[in-house]
Amino acid sequence: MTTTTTRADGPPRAALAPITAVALGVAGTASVIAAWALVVAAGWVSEASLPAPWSVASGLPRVLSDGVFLDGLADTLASWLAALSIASGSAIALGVLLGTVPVVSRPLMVAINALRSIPSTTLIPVAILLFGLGQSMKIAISTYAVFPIVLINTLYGVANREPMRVDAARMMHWSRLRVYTHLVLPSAAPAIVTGIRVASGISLVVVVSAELLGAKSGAGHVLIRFQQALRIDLAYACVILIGLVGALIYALLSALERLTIRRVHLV
Amino acid sequence: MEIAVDGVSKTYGRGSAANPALTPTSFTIAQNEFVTIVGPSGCGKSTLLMMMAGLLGPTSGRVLLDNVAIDGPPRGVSVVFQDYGRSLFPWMTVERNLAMATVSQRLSRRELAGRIERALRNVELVGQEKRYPWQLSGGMQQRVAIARALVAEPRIMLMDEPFAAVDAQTRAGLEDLVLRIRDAYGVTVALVTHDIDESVYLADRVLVLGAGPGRLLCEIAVPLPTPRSQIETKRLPLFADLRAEVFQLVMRPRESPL
Amino acid sequence: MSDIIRRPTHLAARAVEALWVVALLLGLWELVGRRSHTVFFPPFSKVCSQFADDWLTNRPSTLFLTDNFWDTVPITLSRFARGWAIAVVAGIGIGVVLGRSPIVRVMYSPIIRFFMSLPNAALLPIALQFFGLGGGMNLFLIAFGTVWLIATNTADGVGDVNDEWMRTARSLRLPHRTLYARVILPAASPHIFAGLRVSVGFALILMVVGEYYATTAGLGHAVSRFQQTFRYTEMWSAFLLIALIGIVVNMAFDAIERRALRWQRRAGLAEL
Repeated sequence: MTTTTTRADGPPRAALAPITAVALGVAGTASVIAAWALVVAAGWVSEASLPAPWSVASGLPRVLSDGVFLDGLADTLASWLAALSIASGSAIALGVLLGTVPVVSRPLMVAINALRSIPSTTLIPVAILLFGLGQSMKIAISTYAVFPIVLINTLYGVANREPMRVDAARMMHWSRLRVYTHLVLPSAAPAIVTGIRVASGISLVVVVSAELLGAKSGAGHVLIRFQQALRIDLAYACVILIGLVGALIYALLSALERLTIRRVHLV
Repeated sequence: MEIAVDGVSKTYGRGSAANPALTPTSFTIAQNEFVTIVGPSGCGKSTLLMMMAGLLGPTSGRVLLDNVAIDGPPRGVSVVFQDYGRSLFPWMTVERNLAMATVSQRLSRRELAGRIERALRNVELVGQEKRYPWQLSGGMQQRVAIARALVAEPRIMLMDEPFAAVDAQTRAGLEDLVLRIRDAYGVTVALVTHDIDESVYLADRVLVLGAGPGRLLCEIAVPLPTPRSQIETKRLPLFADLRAEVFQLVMRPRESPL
Repeated sequence: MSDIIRRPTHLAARAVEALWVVALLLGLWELVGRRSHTVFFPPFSKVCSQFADDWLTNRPSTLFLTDNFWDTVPITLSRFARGWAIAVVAGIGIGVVLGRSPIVRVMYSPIIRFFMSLPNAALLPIALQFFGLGGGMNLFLIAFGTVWLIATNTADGVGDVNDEWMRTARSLRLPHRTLYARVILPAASPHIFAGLRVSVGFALILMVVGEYYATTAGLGHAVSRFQQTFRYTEMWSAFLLIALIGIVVNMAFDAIERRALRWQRRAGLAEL
C-alpha cells in the first residue's frame, strides 16, 4: 500500500518505500566511487595525491586493526565526550537559570553571539600554551567551542516556554525548583537537544582539529603520521573512518532529537 | 472562446481506496458568458475548475477550447485563486507580480506598461505598482490577483472561490468589479463559489453540483436584467425564486446517484 | 514569546543594555591578565596597545591601517571570500538539483551526509598532499567544508516551496528560467540564507585553520609564527583582529539577510 502525497504540479506521487530508498542510496554512492576510480584510472590526478578506491578499501581493515589507531580513536572519542558533557552541563544549567531573567538573557545572547564569531580553532595556540599538548588541551578548546551553542539553544528554548503554562504553574503554587525542573526544562528540551546535536558535530571537528594542529594523541594525530610517512592510502582510509564515526554520532543524536521532539510536543 | 467540458471526471486512488471526486460531467460555456459553479463542500467544484484550467489532469474525458483538447495550462486562460496571500509572490512588487503573467508572451516594455496600467485601472488600484502585497489589505490583494489575470488579456477567466477569504462588504464591491471587467475585457468567466446569493447574482447561467459523489445536478439560466445592482437586482422576485431554486438543489441531503 | 519589558529607545541606552555582559567579560580579562604573571595571558589593555601598534596607524592614505595589516589581512580575506563564493555557487546549484529531483536526492544523500559529518580538519593532510602549500589548499578546504551544508539547506528550501506558489507559476505558464530565478529561488531563500549563515561561521574557522596548518602568508600563518617565536602579546593581538573580522563579517551578513528576507517577515510568513 502506498501513501499518496499531492503536489501542486499534477497527480499525486507515491512516497518511496524504504527498500527503494536504500537501493537508490547505494546506487548514488556507487556512482561517486565509480567516478573516483575513473579519475584515478584516467591519470588526471597523480596516484600520490589520490589513491585508487581499492587501495583505500584494502587500507581500511589495516587501519582498523592497528592498535595505535584504535588507541587514538578512543582518545579522540573520550575527549569529545568529555567536552560535550562539560559544555552541555554547564550551558544548560546557566541557560535555564539565566534564561528566565530577560534583563540578563538578552545581553548574554549578544555576548555569546559575538564570541561565536571568533573561530574557536584560532584559540588552539592559546590552549596549547595554557594546557600543553595533552588531552586536557583538546577538551578545553572543544568545551569553549561548544558551550556557546548549547547555551544559545537553551536560552532560546527557555524563552519559548508557553506563558500560559507558567501562569498555571504559579496558580498551583509550585516551588521555584519545581518550575525549573518540571516546566522550563521540559519545554526547552527540544531546542536543547538540537543544540547538543549541532554541538556534537562541532565538538568532533574541533577535537580533531586540535589533534592535527599539534596534539600528541588522538585519531587526527595518527592521520598526520600516516601522511608524513607517505602512506596516503592509509591516510584516506583513516579519514573515511573518522568520517564514519562522525556520521554515526550524527545519526544517533538525530534519532535522539526526533524522540525528544515527539515526546515533548505530545504533552 | 468556447469551452466544452466533455465527460470529465476525476478519481483519486485505485481499487478499493478509489475516491471519486467528480463523476463524468459535460457542459459547454459560450463566448462571453458568465457561468457560476456552485455546490456544497465535497462536490468537486474546485477540482472541476482546476481541470478546466489544465492544472489537473482528468481521469477520463477532456476539456476543449474552441474544439481543441487542452493538455496543461492553455494560452488565453487566466486563473484567480482563492488564497491571494499564497498566490501573489510576496517578494515582488505589484508591478512585477503583474508582469509575471505575460512573461510567456514576450511583450515589449511599452506594451507591458500599457497593459499593467489598464489592468490596474480596471481593478481601481492605480498608483499601487511599486507596493508590495504585504502592504495592501486583503481586498486589495485579491484585486491585484484579478489584475494579474487581466494583464494577460485572456479570453477566459477561471475563478476559484475568489471572494471566500474577504469580508462581506468587500465581497460586494469585488462582485460588481468582476461584472464590470467582464464587460470591459469581453472575457468568458467561470466562477466557482459556495455562496448561493453570489452564484445567482453574477451569472448568466448557474451550474449546480451535488456531492456524494460529485456530479452536475442541473444548469439554471439566469435571465435577470443587466447591469446588475446589489440593491435593485436582489430586490426582484425573480432573484428570490432563482435563489430558492439553487438553494434547494444545493442543500438537498445526499442521495443515491440520479 | 518572552516577557514584555519596556526597552529603552535611545540608541546609546540600548547599546549599553546589550553590551554590558561583553564589557564585564573584558573587564574580567583585564583583571586576570594583571593578576596572573604568566606571559601567556597578557591583560586586555596590553593587548590593545599591541593591537594599535600592529594594525593601526595615523596615515589616512592607507585608511589608518598599517602596512603589516595590508600585507596579511587581504590575503586571508581573499581566500575566505573566494573559497566561500565557490561553495555558495556550487552549493546552491547542487541544492537546486537535489531539491527538484527527489530521486537524485535520495541517491546522493548518504554520501553528502558522510561528507558533512567528516571533521573538515581531517582533510588538511590530504588537501596538503593534493594541492601542496599555498592558496589552493585553503580554497579547497573552505569550499569543500561548507558546500554540502549550503547544498542541503538549499535542497530543503527548494523542495519545500509552497504548493500554491508553484501552482500559480504553472497557471502563468512561466518559462523555466523565470520559474527558477523568480519563483523557486526567492521562495527558497529563507532556507538558503539559514544555510549560508552557518556556512559563514564554518568558513571563518576553516580559513584560520588552513592558514595555521600550512601556508606562507596570512593571518593564520602570522598566529602560528608568533606562537613559535614566543611573541605572545602579538599573538593575542592577531587573535583580536581575527575576532573583530569575524564579528564584522557576521554583522554584514545579518544586514544583508535582513534586507533580502524582508518580505518574509512583513508578510507574516516567518516561522520563528
